[in-house]
Amino acid sequence: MNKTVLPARALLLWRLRAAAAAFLASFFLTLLLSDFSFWCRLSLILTGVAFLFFFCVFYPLKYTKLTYFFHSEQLIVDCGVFYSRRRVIPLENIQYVTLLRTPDMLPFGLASVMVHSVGTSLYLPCLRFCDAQDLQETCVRRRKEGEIP
Amino acid sequence: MNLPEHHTHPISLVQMIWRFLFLLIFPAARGFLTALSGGNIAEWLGGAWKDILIILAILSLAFVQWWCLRYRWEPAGLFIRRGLLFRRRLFIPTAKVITMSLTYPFYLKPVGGVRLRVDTWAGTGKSTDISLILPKKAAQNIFASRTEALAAKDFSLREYHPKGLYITCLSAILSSSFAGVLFFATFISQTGSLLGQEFADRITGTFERLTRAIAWGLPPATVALAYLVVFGWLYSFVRNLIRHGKFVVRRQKDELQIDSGVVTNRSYSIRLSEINYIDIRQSLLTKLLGLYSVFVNAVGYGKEKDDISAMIPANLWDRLQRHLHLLLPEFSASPRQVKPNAGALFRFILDPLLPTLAIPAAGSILSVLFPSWADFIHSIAWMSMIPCLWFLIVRLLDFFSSGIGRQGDMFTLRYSKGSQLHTVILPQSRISQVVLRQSPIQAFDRRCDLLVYSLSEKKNCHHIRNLDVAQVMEIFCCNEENVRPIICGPKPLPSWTEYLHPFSHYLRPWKPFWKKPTEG
Repeated sequence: MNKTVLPARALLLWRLRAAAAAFLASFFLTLLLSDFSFWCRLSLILTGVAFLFFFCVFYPLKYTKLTYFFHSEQLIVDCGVFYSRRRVIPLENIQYVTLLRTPDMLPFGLASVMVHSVGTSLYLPCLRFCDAQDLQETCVRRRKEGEIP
Repeated sequence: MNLPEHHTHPISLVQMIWRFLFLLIFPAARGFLTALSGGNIAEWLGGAWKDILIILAILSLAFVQWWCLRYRWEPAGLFIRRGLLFRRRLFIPTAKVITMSLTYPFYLKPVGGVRLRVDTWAGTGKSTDISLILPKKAAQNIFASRTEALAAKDFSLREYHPKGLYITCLSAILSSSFAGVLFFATFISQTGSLLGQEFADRITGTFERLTRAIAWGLPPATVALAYLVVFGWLYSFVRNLIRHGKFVVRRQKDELQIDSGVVTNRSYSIRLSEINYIDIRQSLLTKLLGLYSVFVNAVGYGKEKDDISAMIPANLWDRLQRHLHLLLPEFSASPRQVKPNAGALFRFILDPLLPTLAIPAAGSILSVLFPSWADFIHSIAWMSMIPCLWFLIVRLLDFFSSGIGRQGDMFTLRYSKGSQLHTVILPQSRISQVVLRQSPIQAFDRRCDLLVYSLSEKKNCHHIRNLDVAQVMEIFCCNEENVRPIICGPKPLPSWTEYLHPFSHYLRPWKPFWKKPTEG
């Protein structure tokens, strides 16, 4: 059973995003609330707490739990952060698969995948680009040929 | 040889005129500006030719649109052509049509118009793909040719006529006070604008006097609310009764045909191979009476506001099984194989229990704070308690009946949604996505909530609570081959780490994220 896990650089990217968001939030809060020292400090502390939460808890848990594999003609994805989820999509019902790449993913060689089924969809963030392409090809090819995994 | 193209019914012109009515804003604006600039009627009449021109433009635009809308039905499919400048040609192959329906609205009956609707997997879940108003005979011919195509000579027609009593039961199940209350509220508020404020005040005054006269010692406001709910429900009930009158179901080889309606008649033709699932529903009342209703889920069936979605109105379990076997032998319910454990009771009743306890507490506090309103607050609190207790009983029944079963490729899902108990019979090929969701609390006793999304134009979820995670994985074949043995064997107490990462414990050896092997 080969499970595909996220590359370590996915976690690095998420942490960088969290850091950038925290920096921007702090910058603007300081700029806007400079005349209200109490509220300024409070909002900066809350931003710091939120940053630490995402940096140390949320993203590491998300990264650890996200894996996917093919089994019995189904795409199975384990995900979740505090709630654990196992999502199962029969390959025959997958309609199409979309690859998404944001500018910050390019230097890390990452891509996100959106799997569209009838009435539902599934988002797999920050996979290796080659894994994302493989996933896309596998889903589409198996749907086309009815190939058994 | 090309078959001739036809126009839709001329009454469609009214529909098309409606689309261009926004152009009347120009005559209205002209009149307004004339009045504003101190002009007199003579001045306004001087430019009346512009208004006449706009009205003529509306009529001619509608006519051109109607003239350019042509259709052709052929054995291969339905061809539609529309537009003069921006021409659109549309062809829907017969094989892709899932549901075709004919509606005979009472207001179109005098002119012989019938609404033909065609639905496929394409399009949105909110509206029908194609809706045309056709002459009665033409629409019936199209409908008959489809029925003929889906029938087979070696298959004898099966027909089911439910008794009037069962239709009454179904109407009662489907009725809700909310729709009726909404109708009465709109009726009273619109009366003022249509017939004058005096007439609206008279209606409100009569209602007020009536409630005061039959209040029987209760606060009049409470009685008014209660009567509004009761009459709202009655209105909804009568509407449903009229809608489901003359209900007949016919089964052909690859078609399910359903006819119903007294004032507005409706006929539906559903391709059998495209039925997503059947849903056997019970409300609390029908549960007590031992009655079940069967609903069909297919693209285009039960899509619009006044559509029918039932297949068997209401029946006792044995009879229901007989009728179901007659009409849809492909869909047979299987017994529960996976069900919630005894300890899951709290998980089921928590949602209704919170308001059930909170409402009396809030009522007591408010009556202490506002003693002059105590009677009113108490009566409102008691009335609010009724739906909560109702919901609590439904959840209790759900606890004793929910679960999943599997027989070959057919799944039977038993669960509750709102105030209804559902038994859904769903083929495996009609499952869009299965989600096993485990909260940190559920991880302690290795349970999970199961969310099954069935194929549908819009998201359609079946939620079954608190099942054994390993059994669910086994029944849906989403367990890895190398997973540790499930069901049997003692269950060790989970550690704190397992508590935080429940699936990690089940599905792969636990490795903290800081020790996770990086990409190879």
